[in-house]
Amino acid sequence: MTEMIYNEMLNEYLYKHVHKSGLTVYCVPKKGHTKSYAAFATKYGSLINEFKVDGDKEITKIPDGVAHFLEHKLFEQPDGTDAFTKYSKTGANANAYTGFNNTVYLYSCTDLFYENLEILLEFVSNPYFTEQNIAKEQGIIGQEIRMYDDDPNWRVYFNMLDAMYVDFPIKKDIAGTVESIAEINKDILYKCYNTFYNPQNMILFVCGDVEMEEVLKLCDKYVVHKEIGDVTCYFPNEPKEVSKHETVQKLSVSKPLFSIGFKDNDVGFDGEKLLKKDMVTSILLEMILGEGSPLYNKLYDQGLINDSFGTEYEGEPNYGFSCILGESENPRKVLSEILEAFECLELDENEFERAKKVEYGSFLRLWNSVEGISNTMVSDLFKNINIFDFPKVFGEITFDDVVKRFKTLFKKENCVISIIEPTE
Amino acid sequence: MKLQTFKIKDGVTLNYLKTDKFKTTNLSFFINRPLTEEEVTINALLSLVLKRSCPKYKTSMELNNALNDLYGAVIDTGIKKKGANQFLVTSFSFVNEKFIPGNPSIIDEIFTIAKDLLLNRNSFNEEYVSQEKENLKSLILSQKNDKRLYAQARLIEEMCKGEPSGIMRYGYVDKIDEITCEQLYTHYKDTVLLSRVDVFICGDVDIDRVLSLVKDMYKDITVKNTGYVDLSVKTGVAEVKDITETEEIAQGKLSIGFRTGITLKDKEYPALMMYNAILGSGIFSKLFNNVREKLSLCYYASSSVDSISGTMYINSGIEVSNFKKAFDEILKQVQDMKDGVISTEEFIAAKLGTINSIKSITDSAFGTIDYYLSKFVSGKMIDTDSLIGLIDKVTVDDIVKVAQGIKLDTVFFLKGSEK
Repeated sequence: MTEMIYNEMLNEYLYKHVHKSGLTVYCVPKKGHTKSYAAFATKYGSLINEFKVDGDKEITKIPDGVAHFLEHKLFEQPDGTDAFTKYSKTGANANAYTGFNNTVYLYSCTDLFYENLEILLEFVSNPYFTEQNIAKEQGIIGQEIRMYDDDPNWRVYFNMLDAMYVDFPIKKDIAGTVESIAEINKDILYKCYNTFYNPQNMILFVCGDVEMEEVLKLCDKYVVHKEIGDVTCYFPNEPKEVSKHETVQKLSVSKPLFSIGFKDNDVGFDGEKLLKKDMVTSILLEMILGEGSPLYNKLYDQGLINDSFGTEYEGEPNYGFSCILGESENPRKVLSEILEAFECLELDENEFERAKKVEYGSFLRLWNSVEGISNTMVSDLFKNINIFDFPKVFGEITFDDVVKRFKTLFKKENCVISIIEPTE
Repeated sequence: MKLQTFKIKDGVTLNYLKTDKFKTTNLSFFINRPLTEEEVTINALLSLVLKRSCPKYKTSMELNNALNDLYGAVIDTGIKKKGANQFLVTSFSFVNEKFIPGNPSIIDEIFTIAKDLLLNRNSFNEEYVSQEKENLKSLILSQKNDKRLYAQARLIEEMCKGEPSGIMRYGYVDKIDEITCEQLYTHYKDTVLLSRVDVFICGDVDIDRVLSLVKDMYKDITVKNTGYVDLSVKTGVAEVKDITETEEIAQGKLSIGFRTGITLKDKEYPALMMYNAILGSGIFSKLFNNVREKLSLCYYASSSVDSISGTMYINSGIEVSNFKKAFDEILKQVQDMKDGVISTEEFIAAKLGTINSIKSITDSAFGTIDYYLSKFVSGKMIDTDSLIGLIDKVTVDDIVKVAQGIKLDTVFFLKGSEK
């Protein structure tokens, strides 16, 4: 059964179908765009380091960076070529990425959508790992890790997470380390593949000039149901407290970079409740630190921050944090000004109405590109969030929600600052 | 997406890209100035100051809140380099009224702000000017934070010394202090306001209404500098330059510059696009498959061409000790292109990939506007469909001919200090 959801105001459709293999397939038709897009994704990212499948004697513990390594290696084909060779016959723009919570294989194309979809479904469904092709990848990923070592924006963010979390694996880099990836072998890759690349743990998302029926026919051909016992993933018990309040690294930058984080302890739920929390937090951040806020303008006029300043919120079922990023000669002063202002901040109902408009505008902006809509929906769907619910939830948000959220999220004891200082 | 151009008056055009695929409308003003060392810094400063306020909204906070009231309209200002030209860009992006309950009027308010912000200035706020002078310094200096982009920017600066392309986009730190608020205003009033402007609007709008709004905006302005500056394209290389710099970094960044001598105007341009696709654009290319996949020397290795300056750049991030290996392999691939070592698979992949990326341009408002602006500057108008037609006709021989004219110019290596 294909379910159809229509949003009148957006004039957009969403089709959903649970395929007999257990794979959930989503389709957002976008006929006017020249590009079409597909993403085949699994709910498996860098955070899963310990798991047990029903029937296994022991818990499997894996080195850091396996999900990302697996993503690279899945492109390898038994005939010695890789999936890119197949895409080279269609002209598609293919890629993949690994996050904390999922791994996504995707392509965009202006022609031959279904031929490309066959390539995607086929290579993701057929792993081919050998010790030899693993060794080659260790060199490439080693350089990827080194590249991020030099990237101050990446470092300031990950150092913040390391300071914020005591044990939770979000502390660790998605790609692992040169040492941890040296421990990866083909047995580990197959074990993780067989456990997490199961249609029931995956979604297929397509967007563009696409028909659901054709997509399902190809699923029949390539995606088969796999019997696998229940999988339990183990995460360390993360305390509410932060690991340390400040972390500093020196890199070759022109001026210090900072990332201020607030650990969110109001977690443990997904779906509409999580969507609402997400939206309330965005509205709140716009009110207190958006470009129209008194605090932003005060910091800017004092020369403490510049155009690179920004805020964001990351909310997942089992963790969450908000962060405030930028460049400043004096990041500690930025932090103390913000904390001081928060202590006596009175939220204003007019500013709430205005921030809601901004939130609504950014929601509409998301629909400008097939990539924008697809990337957002893929990560949301794994959290049981459907952004077609946005208008409904948006209507329910009250000023009171925002006031409450302000009090719970922005606590001094949950706050960390990560600084990148210039090398002398 | 078809382009419709209206001449408003000498030196002012309105360009409409009609489409209903976006939920937002983009309105951009491109003010054209010659790209010179004398002017580049003050133009960069002006672009930062312009977006802080306008006569109607005298503080940044008032202006930002006015934009927020319009469902989070966004103003972006910046500088774009194209050959011997630079553009002061002011771009407004705002949601289409039809997606807002009650359909409030947004576009009229945007035009009011645009006119006020770009044209109705009687002075600049002294405080804002001094703040933005500091911000411009930071902006220029922070280019070194992204080592990959920085290595390429330094390569171009060294390779194109004395040419417009060698001028840094945001100017020079040591030229900032001397600019006074009065000088900035005089430059705005007597130079920038009298310069050619191309207005683009991309989205689904009532074009007659927009046409009258733009006419009204520019009714009192007489443009003196109505044309673009032509670039004399350098083709020869007297001596290959080798430059190495040291920074405290983990990974070395290798940037290599070449002269193609071919620009958008030339009939060989489609063959150059194909050349670049085979050599180093993306996952089907020789650089990706050899430097990365076969030799495992890097995570990225790619080439790109500047379609207005007739130059090409190759970038890769490598282990410092692998410099020679990587450099030799990259040059071997360049040589193979000259020798015509191009397989049918490579040729087909490049053609399909190039067509795919040309078609994809029209899915982005910014991408489409930039595409047509480049065509304006080069003086050769060709829409995306016709360009695809030309790509389709390119042969392997055409590509090899292009390859044989490509000359190595400068090698720039940013390496870590050996500790």
